[in-house]
Amino acid sequence: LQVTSSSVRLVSSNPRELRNEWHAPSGYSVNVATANATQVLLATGGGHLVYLEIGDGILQEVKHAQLEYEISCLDINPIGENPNHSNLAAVGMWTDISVRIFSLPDLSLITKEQLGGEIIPRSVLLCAFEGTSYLLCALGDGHLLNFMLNISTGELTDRKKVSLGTQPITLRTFSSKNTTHVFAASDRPTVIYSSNKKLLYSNVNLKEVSHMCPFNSAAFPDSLAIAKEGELTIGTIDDIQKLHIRSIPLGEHARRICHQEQSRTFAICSLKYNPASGEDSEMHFVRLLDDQTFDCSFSDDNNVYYCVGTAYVLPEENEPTKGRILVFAVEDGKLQLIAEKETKGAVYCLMAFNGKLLAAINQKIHLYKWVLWDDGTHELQSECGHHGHILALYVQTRGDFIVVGDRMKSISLLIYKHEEGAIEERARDYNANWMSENSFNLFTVRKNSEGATDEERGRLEVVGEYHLGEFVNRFRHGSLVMRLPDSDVGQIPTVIYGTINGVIGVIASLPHEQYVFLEKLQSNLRKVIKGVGGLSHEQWRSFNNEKKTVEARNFLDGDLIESFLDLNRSKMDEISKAVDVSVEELCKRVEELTRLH
Amino acid sequence: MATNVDWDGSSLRALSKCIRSLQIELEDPIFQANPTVSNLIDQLHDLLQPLSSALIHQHPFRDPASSLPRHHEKKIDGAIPTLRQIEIEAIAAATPITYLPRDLLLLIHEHLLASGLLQTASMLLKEAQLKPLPTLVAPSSLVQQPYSQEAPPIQLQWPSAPVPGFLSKKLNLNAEDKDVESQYETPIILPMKHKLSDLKDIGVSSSSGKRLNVGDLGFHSPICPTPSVIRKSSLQTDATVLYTPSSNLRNQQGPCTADYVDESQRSMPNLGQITPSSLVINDHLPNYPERITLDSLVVQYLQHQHCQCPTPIITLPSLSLLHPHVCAEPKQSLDAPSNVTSRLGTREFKFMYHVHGNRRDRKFVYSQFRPSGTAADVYSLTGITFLGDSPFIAVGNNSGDIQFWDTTSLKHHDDTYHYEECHRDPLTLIQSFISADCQLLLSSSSEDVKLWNVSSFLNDNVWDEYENVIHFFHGCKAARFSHSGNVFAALSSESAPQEIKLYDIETCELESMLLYTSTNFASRGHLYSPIHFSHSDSMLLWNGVLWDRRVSGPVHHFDQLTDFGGGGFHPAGNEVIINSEVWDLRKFRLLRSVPSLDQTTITFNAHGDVIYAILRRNIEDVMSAFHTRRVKHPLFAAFRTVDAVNYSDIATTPVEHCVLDFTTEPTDSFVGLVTIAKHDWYIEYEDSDSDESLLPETWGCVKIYEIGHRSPTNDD
Repeated sequence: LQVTSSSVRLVSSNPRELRNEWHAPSGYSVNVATANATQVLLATGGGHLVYLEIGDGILQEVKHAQLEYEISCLDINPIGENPNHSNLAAVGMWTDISVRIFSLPDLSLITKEQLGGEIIPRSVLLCAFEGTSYLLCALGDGHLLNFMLNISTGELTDRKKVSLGTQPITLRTFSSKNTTHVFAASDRPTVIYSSNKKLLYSNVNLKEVSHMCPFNSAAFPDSLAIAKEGELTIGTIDDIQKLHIRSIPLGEHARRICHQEQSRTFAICSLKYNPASGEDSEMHFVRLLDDQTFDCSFSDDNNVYYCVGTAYVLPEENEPTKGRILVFAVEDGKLQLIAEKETKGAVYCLMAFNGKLLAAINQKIHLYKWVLWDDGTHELQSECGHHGHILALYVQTRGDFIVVGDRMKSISLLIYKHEEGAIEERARDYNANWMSENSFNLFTVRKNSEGATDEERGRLEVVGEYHLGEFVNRFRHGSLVMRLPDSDVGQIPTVIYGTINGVIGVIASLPHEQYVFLEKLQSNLRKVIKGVGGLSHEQWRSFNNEKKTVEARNFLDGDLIESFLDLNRSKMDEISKAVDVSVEELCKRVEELTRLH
Repeated sequence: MATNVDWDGSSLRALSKCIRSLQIELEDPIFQANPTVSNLIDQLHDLLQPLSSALIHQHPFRDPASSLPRHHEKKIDGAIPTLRQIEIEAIAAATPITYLPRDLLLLIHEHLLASGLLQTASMLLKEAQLKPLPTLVAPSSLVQQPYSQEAPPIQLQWPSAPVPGFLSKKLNLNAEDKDVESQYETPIILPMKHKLSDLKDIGVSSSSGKRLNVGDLGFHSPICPTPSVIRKSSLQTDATVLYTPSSNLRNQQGPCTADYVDESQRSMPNLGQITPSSLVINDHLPNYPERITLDSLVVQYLQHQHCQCPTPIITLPSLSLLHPHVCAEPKQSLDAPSNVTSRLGTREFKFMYHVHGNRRDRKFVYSQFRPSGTAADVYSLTGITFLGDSPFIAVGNNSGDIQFWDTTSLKHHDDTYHYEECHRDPLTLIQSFISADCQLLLSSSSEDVKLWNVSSFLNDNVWDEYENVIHFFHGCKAARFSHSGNVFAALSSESAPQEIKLYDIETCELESMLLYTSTNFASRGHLYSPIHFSHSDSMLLWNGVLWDRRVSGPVHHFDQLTDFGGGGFHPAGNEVIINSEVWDLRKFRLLRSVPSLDQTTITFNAHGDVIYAILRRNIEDVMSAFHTRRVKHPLFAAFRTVDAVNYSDIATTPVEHCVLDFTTEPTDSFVGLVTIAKHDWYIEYEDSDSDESLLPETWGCVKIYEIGHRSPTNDD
């Protein structure tokens, strides 16, 4: 079947000859058309809607309808029992910005749904997921409306709106693993599918897709043909998931990982238990894996290195008195030891800093510089240090500032002074928070730069407290999803954390207005959503350690807020009244948040 | 020897009765008439003595198997305190012991086979419905060969005898022929040799999995008459004992002892290992109230094994006689490693050591104190307190002054301070509290108390006594803030009767008085008793007496075990410490005694899990701090840290001079203390131009320590 701007042509695929042709009335051209195995629906200028049926070698005009406005999009995808014939037609309209449902074959109007706003629908799709029928309607601004469709009555209910991008969307169904999926082609291509009777949206790792259709051939079975500007791709869809997860069995316990983009390698510090020779037997390894993040480079040296900190742990000592810093280079896919430096304690953390190496060793922070001797060898040489901790475990830097996490106390802010070659303390949190880590809490501190006295300016102020319920052992700047520069959500800074139970989470720093709005929403959600057995969300999230219990402060629970989207309509209305924001607006703002992870 | 015969006779009668009861149960007339029964009875008569010997000899065999547990026990002994050892032995002694009766019958069967009593062995299997362990047969066959080889010599001696050798010997014994008696003793040696081989075979077999499997199958058999049989046998034995006259019982005990001694002597040349066990059994015999039975011997044997378990369990299942018994031990130690890096490494992926790890962390942090500031003064400094969020500390001295030091200045060795003359008499106590943005100070001398608001001084460095002093309280001393800061308690300065005065801080009016009405008033002890508020401020403790502010009159008088000094309410809420005794506050029961806290004054850290202890003194007499006995005390020039959760010592930190007072601050980052030294130690400060007689006898020092940091001498 071939549709041109002036006719519909039925061509035999075997003798390749024209069997029949339907001509548009003179003076009118075909603007949009859609078809399935036995039916054709097209629209010409002037609001003419024409329904054709495909017979055996014949095209027969069955019905013609005159609408008051121009037609922008059509769909007659079969979603009933008959996979070759549809009883319903979906029609998108210009001018009055509506989507309508017509019955076939008589083209009688069944449903008329005003979309609101000023954006014209550009693509409309009838589809069924998990036995439920939906109408999907894509607007010109990248938003997608979805309705539940009653195929007997044509009634549209349960309207929802999500943002899939900023450009017009083309909707197309395809099948993957015997399940119906919808490909939304736009500047941010997305796959739509259903899980547990809920529509889910999964980003595709492509950009700017114009069109897509299923493509199944001997050379490319169960594939998709994807058209971009100036490019055609044939590919397959992997398992639908938000995160792309790949597992590599190590056979050992991984303790640290580091990515070196220049050498396209990962270095992993791992631990192997040897059960045969007793419970306490351990062996520690540094392993190199082939093919991104943390690189360690020194001033005046163009090479990149891996730096590993070790400790000699003797049972009779309260803390180690000896350790080493090992500097490795990757040569021919192997680790080569370039230099080693003995330390008077356990090396708990290493950080590249100002072209030098910053090390946390027992209670002290050391700064090493990389010295090149005349004979061509390198050495780590101590430049300066700072002691004022009990157990310096964690070090992070930004510019010349150094943040130190003390296992037994709390957080210190140091600054490196280039001219003097010295590290000084700028501020400190004096709370002894060594119990907090055992209570699975998060807290945030701020430097009081407006303090009247040096003492006040030297005190880090606790400004946020929250019970996470997980033991976090690593924070990293970064995002779980691709950040898109033109998105509002993309401007929000995020931090990823990992816990010992294998949780990966995101902490986002929200603008003040958004925080205030979401805090109000969270308060009302607490009243509507009840925990199992009467558990109180407010109590669960209170900052709690052995010393005190206080209400969570300046933290919001994203999991609770996102559960708004799972509520039924009546509860949504209830919350909408309480916060004085429409349900549509609430859904829009919460769904924007979900794009953070 | 005649006595020995009587002993055998009694045993024979007991066994006969058992067998007769079995016959009655079978109710088989034909069986009764069977001549085999007579042989069976005769053979069982001879069974008891060899069985007893075999069970006795089990002990030396078990020793090698027990050597490993014993060695382990010795290793543990070094680490287990005496009390724990006593607990272990008490548990082992109190454990009821049961064993699998089928195992005993299997051992009997095996012994019968080894002794060549094949018919008796098969009869035993049949009646008890036993399934012999396959591995039992082969060792028995091997053992039989030596016995068979020795049979011909016996037969040669009596070629005309038509019956088995044992029967022939018995007949001769009945004839009372001395020569026959002599011969009767000789063959006993042979069974011993066989038993030794037999025991070795058992040792080998007990470790084989095949045997274990068969044993398990037998044990799980739903139809098993063995227990009832054994039970009836025991009942019959008890009945026999009941019918025996007491004089006969006493007579029989003697022969038993003699018999064992004889056996011990006879076996010594061949089996030296037997001696220790025999001696042990001989020691037990005089105290054993009942006759020796197979059951009692077996239970004794198992009890001995149980007593050697390093970690005995009081609830035991029925034990197996085929394997040595050892109670299960923990697979891994629950204690946390000493090295902090080990704890950190494990913590990152496995959350164990929670309680013990915290204990190790407390020890790690509170055993290290780094000097963070120090200053000297010509006067004796008698009290110290941190002033809330500010960097200032307040120090009282022997001239009645209050000094204000800036701790940040002390870090840089800046000795300048501000002081005000506040009292006419020496300061004895100084306390601080932050209340609604007011920094309150409570200073005491032996005659009066003053309440100050020093906020203006802290903010503007301006001291106006008229403006700063809130109230002057005459006639009281040793004032202390409550935890909420709305009242303070003070002692009356009058000598008698003693009373506690409670003042409202907002109105400065007397709120109530708590009278001490005991006739057992300690004349001098009260000098060391500070007033303590409970952490909810509802109760007060002083001089061993407990008051509840909601009730008139004392609630409880604690027993005076040592004295009523020091101590205080534990922040956890349920305990109170008086000197070195810890009492339960709900039932007023003594929980424990902590020698480390004896003669001390204690202060809890802000978190409430660590106790600081300094040596106690009479706060009204500074020079009493230099009494001879006190100077020799380890805490004279040191303070001690104790874990407030389990009252174990953490560390003792020397501070160079005599400690007078100690203070903490809310963040648990620093501690402060004041020390004094006698004038002869103060040479470097002496001004040659001044008149020595005008200088005070002692000089004082303020010291600030940072918690958790090592001294700088350890730093590189």
